[in-house]
Amino acid sequence: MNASTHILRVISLRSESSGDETFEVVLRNAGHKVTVLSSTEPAFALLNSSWPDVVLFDPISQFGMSGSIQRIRTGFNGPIIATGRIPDPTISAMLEELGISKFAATTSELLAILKNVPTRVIYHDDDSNDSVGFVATTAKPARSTIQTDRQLELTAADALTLSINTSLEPESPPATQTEAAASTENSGKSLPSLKLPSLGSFRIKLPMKRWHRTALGTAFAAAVVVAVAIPFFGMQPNDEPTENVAKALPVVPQLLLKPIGPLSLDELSGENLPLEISGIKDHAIIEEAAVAFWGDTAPDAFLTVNGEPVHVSEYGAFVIDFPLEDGANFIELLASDFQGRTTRRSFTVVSLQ
Amino acid sequence: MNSATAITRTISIKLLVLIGAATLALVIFSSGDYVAEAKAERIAIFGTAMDAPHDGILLVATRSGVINLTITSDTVINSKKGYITLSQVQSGSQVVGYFYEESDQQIAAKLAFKKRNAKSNQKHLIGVVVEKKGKKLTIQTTDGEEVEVEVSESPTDDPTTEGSLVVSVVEENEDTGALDALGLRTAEETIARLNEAIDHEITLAQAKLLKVRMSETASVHLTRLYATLDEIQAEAEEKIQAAYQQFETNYTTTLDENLISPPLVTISGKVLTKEAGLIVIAKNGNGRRSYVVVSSDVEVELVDGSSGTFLDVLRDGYVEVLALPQTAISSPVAKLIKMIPSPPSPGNSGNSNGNNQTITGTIVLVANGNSNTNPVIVIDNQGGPDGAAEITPDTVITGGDALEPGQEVEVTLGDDGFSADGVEVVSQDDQPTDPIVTPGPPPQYTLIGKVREVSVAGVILDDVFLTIIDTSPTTDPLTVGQEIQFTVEVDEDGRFVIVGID
Repeated sequence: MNASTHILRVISLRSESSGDETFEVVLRNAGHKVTVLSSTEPAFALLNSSWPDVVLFDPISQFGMSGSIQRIRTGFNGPIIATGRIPDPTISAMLEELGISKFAATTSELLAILKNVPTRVIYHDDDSNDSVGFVATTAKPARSTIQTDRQLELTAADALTLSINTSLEPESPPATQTEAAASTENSGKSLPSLKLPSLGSFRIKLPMKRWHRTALGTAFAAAVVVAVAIPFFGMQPNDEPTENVAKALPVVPQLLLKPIGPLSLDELSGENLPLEISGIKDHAIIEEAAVAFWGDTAPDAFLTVNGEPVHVSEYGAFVIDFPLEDGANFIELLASDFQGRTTRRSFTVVSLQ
Repeated sequence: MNSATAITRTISIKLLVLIGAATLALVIFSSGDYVAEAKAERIAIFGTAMDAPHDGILLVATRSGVINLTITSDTVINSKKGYITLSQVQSGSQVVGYFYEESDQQIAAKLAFKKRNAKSNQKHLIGVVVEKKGKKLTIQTTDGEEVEVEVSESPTDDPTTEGSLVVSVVEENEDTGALDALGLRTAEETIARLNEAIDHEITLAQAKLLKVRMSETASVHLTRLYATLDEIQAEAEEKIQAAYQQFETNYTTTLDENLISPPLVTISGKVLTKEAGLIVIAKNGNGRRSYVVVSSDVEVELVDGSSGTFLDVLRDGYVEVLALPQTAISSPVAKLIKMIPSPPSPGNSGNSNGNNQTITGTIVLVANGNSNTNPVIVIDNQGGPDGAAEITPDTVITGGDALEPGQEVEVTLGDDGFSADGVEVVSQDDQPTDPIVTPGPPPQYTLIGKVREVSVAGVILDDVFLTIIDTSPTTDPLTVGQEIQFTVEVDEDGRFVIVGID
């Protein structure tokens, strides 16, 4: 008797700098087939040659760039899910504008979304031989005509990155159905089981004497006491004072530093130096210890916030993560260029922390 | 299980229970304070003090109406630099913070006060460093004023040299009036940064923009240096001239590497002499003279913007010349001569000689006080924080009969900074409260870049995929590597759709 299992083929796009594998681990534990890609071109190449059910991407990473999203959307017509916490609704709105409609801040939200995603390939559990059959039950998914014409060639470095990333997958399925079919033909039998081997319970047996156990117990107790005492007494390891500045953003999104529509030369050539700011409003009431806001000005502008210079990207974009004091906060931005133009913007916000 | 193991386990369990009890006690003791301090809901306040505080009560005009704030010994007043103290609060002072309500009273919890229209003690200063001594820089600003600032960085980290064009954020010391430079950037640093950014993976359009900005910055720096020579003391002139030559060489090389024309300097002044192939210009008709070579292909722009010839350039006329900078062996060479009107005589400019403060904005609230107080208007001031003014029987209202929310007004305040001497209604709010918005055409974007890939479905321009739906580029086939300009729209799926090719 065969029982159908809702197993999805998932491609997860995230930058190498992001070491958070939580989503992939949870998906694999749920039985889904996950391929992680960190390099841009292999990712787009695989999307062209493979038919995943779902694409995940981390909007804070390089894949959050508008151009990348456009390319993902062009090469893939299934659901694209932005994973992780998005620090601001404006970013969500920008992503939605780019065609991303599903957001999963947590693994449970992701699993809930995936329950409603139809699979293109059904894996049948076969009780008789304890193997998993690989049967395509749907035709090749509808795709735009670009698939047939747009063949990206992988460089050697890209191919290496691709192979490294895919080889890291435990018993990952073939990247494409073609490969799967070829593999089946070559082996002359069904694909091997895709289930991960279950680990039995184990115990570490070491030749321990009584004083060993006593010492281990004492060390454990001391560690617990220290761990409890540090937060309550404000102790710091090595007694070194560490600066604890509140942040509103975990990392600065590339989506904001490389805006889709930077200011044009005409906009920069007026009488006043443009200084456009989003994410903060005058007279805002903020129940956080920090506020993040961003904007555009000239790429060569000298920008300060309350006297502190701010980095402006080559697109003229900037992101400011401003720690707030409890109560009144006066925020003043000044942008100047060497042509002698200066623009001033100020905000008064109250933080209720 | 032997007895020793049993003893160890017993000890471990007791130890764990002890630790758990200690942890619980710590949590209870520490959270007890928190519970005791728990207060009612905090309400933010942004407003204008109607008067100095009396008997612990501060009347504040806000968008929500007039609030009687009770100031207690527990009220925290922010006394940081830039704020005024409670004793300095008077009518018109800006009030920001939060309060909570208790027994029908508004208890101020945390407040900060600022003078109305208090100027920030931080500003940006743009000018040429004409002298540098240790941490002290003498900067000649764009209006010819010489300002001395002290940089906070160590002299070795200071990127400036004599002749540098800098933009600096400076803070005025309230006691001494001295200016401290909190940070600065030089034009040469900026040009180097832009030059480096061009090599990054940026779009072609942005690279072109950076090149233009780089060229403009170089031209501005050389022009400022050139103008500085008019104002500078003789002993510093040699240094500035040397800096001018050095920067001119550096910038020309940098721009040349990017296939950009050399920077141009702008020389303005009165034409003292006009000869074949040469004009002599002096700023305001006197001072240092600039000998500018005029080639036969020079462009001339008349005062009305139309094109002219070199014949139209008259002696004693005023011109603005864009010229290739002078070098050690040649004078500036004019590329464009703009005829400009004669400058106004000194002393007839400026129009703000009134001492009374004004607030311009839209009325958001007219708070009619009780029988003992006058009505107060709260104004959404587009250029800064909200303002408020008291309408007294002596207030002169022009441009309208009554003051109402939605009116744009200009309020002239009295000497006390709060009562209104006059209110001029600039315009009425004639806009319907719920206007019918008709969707306009979708916005179009112009994208310039290099074609990376081409297919029947679309084009990858730099790193952006552009979808082809109606406009076929095959009439004039696109090739990979081609630089091209597309007009695109964003469709409902969020795709860039090509609607035009230039």
